[in-house]
Amino acid sequence: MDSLEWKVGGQQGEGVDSTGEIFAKMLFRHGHYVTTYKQFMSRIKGGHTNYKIRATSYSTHHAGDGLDILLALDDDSYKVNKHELNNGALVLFDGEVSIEKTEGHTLVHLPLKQIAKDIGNPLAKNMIALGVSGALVSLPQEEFFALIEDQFAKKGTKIIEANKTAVEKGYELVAEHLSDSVRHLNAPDAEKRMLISANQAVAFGSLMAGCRFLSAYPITPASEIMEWLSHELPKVGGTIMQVEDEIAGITFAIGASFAGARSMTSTSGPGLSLKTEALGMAGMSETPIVIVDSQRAGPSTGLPTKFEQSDLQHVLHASHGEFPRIVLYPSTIEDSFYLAAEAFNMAENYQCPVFLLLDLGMSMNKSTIMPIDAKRVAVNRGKVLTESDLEQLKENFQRYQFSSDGISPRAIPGTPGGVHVTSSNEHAESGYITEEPDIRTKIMEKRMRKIENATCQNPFYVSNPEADTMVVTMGSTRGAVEEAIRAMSSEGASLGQLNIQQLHPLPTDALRPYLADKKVIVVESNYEGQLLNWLKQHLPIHDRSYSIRQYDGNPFRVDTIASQLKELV
Amino acid sequence: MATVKDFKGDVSTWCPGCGDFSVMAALQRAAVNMGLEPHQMSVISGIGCSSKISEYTRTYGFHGIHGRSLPVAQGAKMANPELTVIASGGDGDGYGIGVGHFIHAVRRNIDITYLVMDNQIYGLTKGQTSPRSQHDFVTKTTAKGNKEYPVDPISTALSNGGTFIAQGYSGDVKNLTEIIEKAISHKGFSLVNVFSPCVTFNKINTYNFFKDNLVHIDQAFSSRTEAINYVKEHNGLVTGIVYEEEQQDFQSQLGIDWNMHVSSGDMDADMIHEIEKTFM
Repeated sequence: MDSLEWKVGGQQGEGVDSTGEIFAKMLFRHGHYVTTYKQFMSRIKGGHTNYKIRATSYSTHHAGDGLDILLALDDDSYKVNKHELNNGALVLFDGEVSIEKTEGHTLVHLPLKQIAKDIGNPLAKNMIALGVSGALVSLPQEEFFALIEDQFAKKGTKIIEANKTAVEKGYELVAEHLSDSVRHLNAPDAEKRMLISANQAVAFGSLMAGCRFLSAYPITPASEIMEWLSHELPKVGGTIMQVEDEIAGITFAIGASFAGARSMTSTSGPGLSLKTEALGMAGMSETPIVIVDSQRAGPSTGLPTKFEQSDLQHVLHASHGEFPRIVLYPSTIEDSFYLAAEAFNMAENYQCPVFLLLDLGMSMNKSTIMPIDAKRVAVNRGKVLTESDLEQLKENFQRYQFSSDGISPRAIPGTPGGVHVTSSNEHAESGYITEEPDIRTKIMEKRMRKIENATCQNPFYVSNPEADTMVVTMGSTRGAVEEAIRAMSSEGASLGQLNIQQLHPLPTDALRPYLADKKVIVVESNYEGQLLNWLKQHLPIHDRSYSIRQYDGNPFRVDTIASQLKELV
Repeated sequence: MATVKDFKGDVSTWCPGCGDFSVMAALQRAAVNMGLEPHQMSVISGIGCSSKISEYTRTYGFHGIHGRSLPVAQGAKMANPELTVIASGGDGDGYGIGVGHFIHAVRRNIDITYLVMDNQIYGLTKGQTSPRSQHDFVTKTTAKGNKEYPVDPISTALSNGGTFIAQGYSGDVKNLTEIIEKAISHKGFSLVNVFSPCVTFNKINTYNFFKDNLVHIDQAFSSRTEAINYVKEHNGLVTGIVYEEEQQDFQSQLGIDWNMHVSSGDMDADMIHEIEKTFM
């Protein structure tokens, strides 16, 4: 057996999340590639929640369509997730011992609650179920113990021992009742990799890129970025601030950036709506800023804990007037790390707002990635003048000096010789307010010119570029499409894939050859086909482009994409 | 040593007789008296007549958007604790759109000075009611008189834990200069609300009105309750330092060894490795 699809479902507040976390880590440490997806509701207790894990012997970016094992800790678990069960799947319920085969899967009842009570640890139902899961795929019990020791180190030996006993009981239950169902899950290798979410990867990447200040307001699914950095930033002389509102979130960060710190704010769609006026201020005043928008389903409060990719139009045009901005959207969790680091260089090199788009599909879910390659992260602060640079100036420092590339040198407050006003009003080269038409025209052109050639290291990824049909994706949709294409290619279809990671400025010339003279199918999670429309604005694909869209709050399934692609090819 | 001339920025467009001239003069004089150089200071403002002070005073200025001078200023101070940061603007900017930030800045106690030019009217948009306009004031948007009651910045700051709360008047530059110096010296958030008459649109709260009605406080109150009561009894028309309290400012409480200026390639391999391990 090369792969496993596993899910635990239960009521919110029942420990579903920690059960999933432990099992994901267990599989990961055993050498598997792990991809997870959490489904939950916007409430603290009650309501069905579940945690999906897919363990594979190869790297993947999708948590899979099916289920081999389902731990059904509440009544909804079976009802809600039944349609995902693979042939031969096993569903574990609590109750009197019984084993029943039905509709191609096996329903197993085991007295989880009763055993938990008997061993004096009534909360350990989940841990027993974990033991059952581990035993069913022959994971070594000792590795489970090691993980428990790590996980509960702070809670003391009593808790550790109680959880070990619970896991042991799970293994015993399988030996006693389910020995026929035990399978061996091949571990590809034991090489150490990282199991990380995009939120964590972005936070880690920002830290390494020299970000020292984050100000933000809590919002799902972005909060984890602020939470993670709250522990790490003080260690390097930086800090986070949880401020009074989203507007303060971005304006604090702009102030910190103006004063010389690499700074960022993190939010989701509703928060970004509030930030838009200050976004324009960053654009006009040419203050670098990184804004993470982890998208969820909108509009308004929408589906706060569900998946969608519908903020593209917003980030491309948010705020009034015109000003340069850069929009990056990593398509894997690994790239979330490197693009976050690059976003800070781009913000300072081009002195403009840089959006880092994420989506709930990657923000809150984990995937196995290679250890960090520190050589790929370099800090480049752009045109910043030092005290001695400023001393050599013959005239007064001109903050918005005209230049051929449109980028003017900055002076950081506190530096002698660089005193100037940074202005959100239209201004002359000095920074002072002007309404003079010629200067307005010239300085507008200077600003807009800045990002004409801006490009990140991997603005897009292409596979099978010679194919007859090119499927275009962004963000976490990449994973499901990759697998759909893989399945269809084995049946002889000629399909390529293009994942765009730099959406503005769109690398039009570089993209052109991959989209010329062929069918273009854009797969995206929104109603309007925002990515397709954006491509149509730049490339002549109008008469041969097609769209696959979904906006039900859930990520794409491989089988639904495959069947829609088949209709279009 | 810098002189007042060194603090002069762009040519002003304020109306002749505008109270804001005196506020700017007092700020520039205070900076000189304290031995500050223009590059050591940052005047950060929002939008409105008074917010143009960041253009007219030569420092590392930041002329931003409406009502957001305080968060920008606090962010700048967070990044560079060495910088003397002044947030400034008008009553519309600060107590209207920015009133939320005001209360949070008061209770957060970051070491900046907030200088509000309070003319009780909207000047730059030509004469509408402001959050500080008095009850029954007839303006372009309150033809039958203002039915709302004014925001009280002093008692708001007092009741939200403000550690330096003062009020000045454009007609007394000497006193205002002293107040601003003390406000800048105060370690923590300091509020200086200044009655700064709008000679074009406010025909009620004029220089004469303030001359006749302002009461000076010689000695700051040592109790918040007494201070609030006194300010209420005098309908807010007081000048001087109303209240001052020593308290650790926000940044000292964090106890971080500030190092926000990142040089290139400044990455600690051990730290990276430690973090990586948490994901393994």
